[in-house]
Amino acid sequence: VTPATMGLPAAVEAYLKDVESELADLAPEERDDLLAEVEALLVEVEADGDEPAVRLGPPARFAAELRASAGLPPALAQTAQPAEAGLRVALARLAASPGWRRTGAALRELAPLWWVVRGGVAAGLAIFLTGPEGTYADRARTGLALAAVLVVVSVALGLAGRARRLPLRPLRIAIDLALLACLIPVTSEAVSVVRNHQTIWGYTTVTAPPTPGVALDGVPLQNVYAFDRKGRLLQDVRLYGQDGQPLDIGRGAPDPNRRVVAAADGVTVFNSFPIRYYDPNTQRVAQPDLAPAGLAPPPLATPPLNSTHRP
Amino acid sequence: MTSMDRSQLLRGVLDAAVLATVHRRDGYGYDVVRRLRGAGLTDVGDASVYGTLRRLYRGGALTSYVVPSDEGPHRRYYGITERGRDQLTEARETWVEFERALDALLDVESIAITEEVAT
Repeated sequence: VTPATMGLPAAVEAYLKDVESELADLAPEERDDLLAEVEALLVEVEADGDEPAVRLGPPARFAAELRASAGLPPALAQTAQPAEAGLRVALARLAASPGWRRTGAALRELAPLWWVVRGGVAAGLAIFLTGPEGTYADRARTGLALAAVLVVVSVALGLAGRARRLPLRPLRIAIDLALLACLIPVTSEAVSVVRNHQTIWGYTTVTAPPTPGVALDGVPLQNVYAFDRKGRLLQDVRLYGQDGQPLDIGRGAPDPNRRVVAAADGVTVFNSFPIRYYDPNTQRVAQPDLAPAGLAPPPLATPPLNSTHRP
Repeated sequence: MTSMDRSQLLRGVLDAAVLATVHRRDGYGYDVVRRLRGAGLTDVGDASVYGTLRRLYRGGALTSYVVPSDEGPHRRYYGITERGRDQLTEARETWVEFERALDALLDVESIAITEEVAT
């Protein structure tokens, strides 16, 4: 309805509104052109002193005659309830709009992708709904095999449906919508199962948590013994890593009987080796030269690196 | 002849009637309706004429232009195109043939003669 309709007689406006609702399903351009003409006609009729409904007949019949003579399809849902008619008209208009047609064409091109995805979703549903039976690797193999079969079936059904050789289209649409609704839950379930098991193609990768403290091949060390080139046990050797980090052992939970070694600045150090233990309830280390049983490395034969500075 | 019969007949020839009307002189919808009625097609429907104008315009038989109006909405005038003229010529030829055939069929004297021969 154009701004020119403002100030129209009530009878004209009401008639025009009724005709407009009868043309609601037409493309906007077509509808607006027709309505502009109808509006002009109504104004002329009014100027002749005629009632629109008397002169032109009921709006619905007028609109039907207009559509028929203009070569347009009859209106949809003449008998439906107003709300339902409005919805159907809105849907029909949406379906007829060029934007929707382009979207529909694009979706049809992408349909094969959906056929593959829905096969996978159906396989995932089957696996997750049958419960956690068998080992993870078995279930993964079964799931992949099932997915392969269902994807093939799904694509075959899609092709048959596209060739219009399948009955029960509403049922197929309902199943599609149900699988679409399951897409996200099934995907997230599959991702979490795979992530928790770290298992791919049937073998397990163990990711061990990092060992705290100083370790050899993943086994934590309780103590370290250093011997000089002559094979003598050294005491209070402070060890550091390549980045200058102290190789502390037992810093987190010091043994109460551990001999406390402090630096000149008063700070207790935990990288001084070997670690010695006091006899219970004393401040005395009974055997300061104790080394692991049988440990007596022979002296080194290789000459020292810097023989001129030999102490 | 009942009005129903007339409107049925009219449906078949409305394209030609509208084309002929606009061919004489460009006109807007209501003007075309009035001229058709003035020419004797008294029960031509407003909606039929408006719809026909729209369809002929969409088919390229008519052209249109808007003339502003001081009182009320603008008037959309329709004029005939080359294609419309061809269509009108064709419709005229068809009509003349049709009319000739129907005249012969409906000729009261010839009906009487036929009946005499038959009896």
